[in-house]
Amino acid sequence: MKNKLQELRKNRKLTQEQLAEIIGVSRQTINAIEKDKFDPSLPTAFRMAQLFEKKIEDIFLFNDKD
Amino acid sequence: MTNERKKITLRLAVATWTWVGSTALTSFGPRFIWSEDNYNLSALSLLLNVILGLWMVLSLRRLFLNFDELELKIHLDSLAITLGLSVVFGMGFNISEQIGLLPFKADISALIMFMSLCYWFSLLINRRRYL
Repeated sequence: MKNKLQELRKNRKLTQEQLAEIIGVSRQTINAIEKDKFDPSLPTAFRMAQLFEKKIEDIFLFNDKD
Repeated sequence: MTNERKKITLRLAVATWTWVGSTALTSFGPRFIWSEDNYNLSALSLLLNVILGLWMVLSLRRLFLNFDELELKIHLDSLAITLGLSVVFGMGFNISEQIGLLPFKADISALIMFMSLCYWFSLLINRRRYL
């Protein structure tokens, strides 16, 4: 699943480490999500949406083929 | 690594090595430390071994509960591969001994070694895949 996490994080001037701490996951998890290697769980996606004040579908772009 | 993770990992390491030590004691104690006729000591060391084994399992579970979602996925994937391969190769190993293809006795320690290697390689591959 594609996502705009890196772009949103950089707009907020947050490092992966800082975002990981706010969301409650490891830095490696943030890195894997940004590289589209891993899809986050629903609670993590909601926490990200709340943090960036966006809808989940504005951050994560669902493609049925993924 | 957070302080909590360090504590949990250290506890698991202590539990694992204590269990390994008690396994050695249970196996070799009756031959080298106490008499083989002393069933009370043998039973006591076996009981201690089982209790320490349960402590190790609970420590591993605590580590899993502390994992975040990606770490959990990596470890569960690795465990699934290890379990599947162990059943398939374990059965093959056992059958090959029964039909006389193995020149040595199929020992449980060989299966444990095989499982450890499977888990280790699966972790390496899954970490490369996701990290």
